[in-house]
Amino acid sequence: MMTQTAAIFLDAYRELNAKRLFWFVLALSGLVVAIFAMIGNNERGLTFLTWTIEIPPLSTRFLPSAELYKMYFVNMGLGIWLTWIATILALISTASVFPDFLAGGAIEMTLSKPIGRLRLFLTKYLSGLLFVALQVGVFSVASLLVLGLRGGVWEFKVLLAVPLVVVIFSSLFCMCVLFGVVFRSTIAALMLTLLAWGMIFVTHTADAVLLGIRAGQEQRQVDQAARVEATRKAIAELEATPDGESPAGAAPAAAPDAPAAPSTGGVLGRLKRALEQGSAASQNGGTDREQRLQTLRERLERQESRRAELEKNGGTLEKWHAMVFGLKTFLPKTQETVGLMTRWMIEESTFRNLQTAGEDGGGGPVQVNLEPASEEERVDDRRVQARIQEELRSRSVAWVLGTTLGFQVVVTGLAAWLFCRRDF
Amino acid sequence: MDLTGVSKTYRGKVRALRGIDMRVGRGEIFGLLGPNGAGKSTLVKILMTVIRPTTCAGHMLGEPVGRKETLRRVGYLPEHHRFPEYLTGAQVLDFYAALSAVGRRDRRARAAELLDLVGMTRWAGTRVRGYSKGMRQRIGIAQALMNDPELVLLDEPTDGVDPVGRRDIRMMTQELKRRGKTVLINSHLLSELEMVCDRVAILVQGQVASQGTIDSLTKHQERYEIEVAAEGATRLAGALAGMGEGTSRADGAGGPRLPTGEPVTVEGAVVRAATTEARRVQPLIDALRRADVEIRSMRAMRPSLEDLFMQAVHDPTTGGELLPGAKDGAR
Repeated sequence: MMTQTAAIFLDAYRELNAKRLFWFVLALSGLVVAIFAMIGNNERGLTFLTWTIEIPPLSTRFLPSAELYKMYFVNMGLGIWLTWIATILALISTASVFPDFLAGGAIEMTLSKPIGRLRLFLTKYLSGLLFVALQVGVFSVASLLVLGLRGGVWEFKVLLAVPLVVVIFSSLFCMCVLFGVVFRSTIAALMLTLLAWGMIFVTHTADAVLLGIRAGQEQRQVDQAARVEATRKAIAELEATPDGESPAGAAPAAAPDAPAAPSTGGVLGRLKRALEQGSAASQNGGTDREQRLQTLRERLERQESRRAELEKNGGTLEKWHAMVFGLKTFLPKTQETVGLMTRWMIEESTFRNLQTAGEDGGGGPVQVNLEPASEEERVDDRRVQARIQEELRSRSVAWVLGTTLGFQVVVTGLAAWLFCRRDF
Repeated sequence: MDLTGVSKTYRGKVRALRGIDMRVGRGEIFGLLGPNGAGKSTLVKILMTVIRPTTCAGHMLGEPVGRKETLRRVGYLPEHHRFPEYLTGAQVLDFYAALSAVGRRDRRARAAELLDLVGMTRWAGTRVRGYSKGMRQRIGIAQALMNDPELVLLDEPTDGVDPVGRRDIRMMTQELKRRGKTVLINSHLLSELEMVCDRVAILVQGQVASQGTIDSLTKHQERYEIEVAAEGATRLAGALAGMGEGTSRADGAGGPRLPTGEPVTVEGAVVRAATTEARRVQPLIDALRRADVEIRSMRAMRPSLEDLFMQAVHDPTTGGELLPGAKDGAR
């Protein structure tokens, strides 16, 4: 049994060895790692060989060298090179594996040997992943050396890229194999796989877009709820205050320079400040307390109406997102799988540091806009991003890998079933 | 090999095999003949588990047909085989022998021996993509023998091979027989088969039209052929007219016959008597000489495998060629 399995793997290696594309991709991988090694950072910014490019957020003040290399590996090496470019080249290179294997005159040679069809198929399938496994293996080991020698950190988690990228590639390869078994044509298998990949990409993009919109919408709802609550409190306080007196506790909140906290109290404070201004104007014009109350009640009505509208829209959006997410559940998850490396390798504090560095000193406490003129409020991007990140991180490793592998099992199982039943 | 009722109906209801009953004895060289589309390759592929039969009962090397384990003891050369172009001849032998679960040490020893046997030692390190058709065929035969099989199935082994190569393959086949192997050859080259086969089966439209030793199949068609001068046609007719009376068979079939009852036929200037016994043909010679018919030559004839083949692939009633395959319900 081992003799046969070893023979199939050896044959796969010989096939790769005979392909120029394999060596071309390996050379490109070497080039990418070489560039990786040439880049570094110092107190002023990014360095390339002996040159320094002044990009303060990427300086060692915000980003230690080890973290820079990790981010470079995860975002550029893994996220772009291995996941996209090398994967497409690998797909082109291996698309012919099954059509050639099934070609008339060739398939009889192997099917007539004392090896079961299912085992033959699965071994051939696994040997088809050899291309990517070797490429990523070499790339990861080289990256590990760069991280250790240049970044001063021996991060063995880098080697997790091998199984992860193999899983990503396998998602495409299983479709390629299925189409190859059905049509026995390399071109058809490659084209249909790329088409299917495109459709999967569209689904993921739709999920990402809807998630972004949904997160924004949810944040709006939260903000709106805070506004409603603040208005209600203001009304209650005003109602409890006898005519001609200021509401209790209004003075500190109304202080013009006091920063509003991201809590209901802060919102309330800002609202009160706005009301104080309105109140002053009213008093100047001789308007009484009832008029102020009337203004607040009208605002509350508008805010509640807006909140109901937001909730309704949010419901519709949630329904659509649930549908897209449901569809996505059955599909392989390329980006999320790559994202696992980010989770495992990059500390959250690194992102926070980068974010802080990128804010250019403008980052103060989060505020809710209470300007009466802009009921259609702008939501705070950072809060929305935090919501998105929270949602993405709530998608567990088991879900990401489990559903991706599930997809592969179903597609490969279908291809295997066809292979086992077919007459050649 | 003992097969009973092997049939195969493809999707689209094309019946490639319609119940094949066939026996191949141990140590025999067996020829499988038939026109294109007769089902020869389908039958071989069923034996090699490449195609799944619709119905099949029978055994091969003592095991039910379709068992993968049996294939350890079987060697196979497919028609139009294709080896991976990136492999050398030696690697081809090694790879396919490994798939047959032959151990590494045995593979090395057998490869050297077989490369020598098929005359490919010199080209063993050259990639298959640089091989001629004949060289590929030689390597193909060598790979079929790498697992030291008890049964060897060769589908068109001489396809694309030059006369010298064909002779080598013929000798190799006979050598296999001497070593006690059973060889089943599927070929169109009837003269080649005739030289090596102990027994043959002729497949027509998915059925065995005839089966047996070449001797047994041709025996009832042996004859004497007498060539006479063409200008003596009138005298020839007169001579044969005198032989017809009183010798007609009980079934009423007319025409001249020998005194011992064998029919005599004429085709142009050739007179045929359905016997190979010289004594029985003497009255015919006497009759021809009496009528002053000039005899130019005379010889005992046995039909060739090609004659048998041609008879088998033509409809006896219409004389038309039997078409390959057939839709379900058709003949």
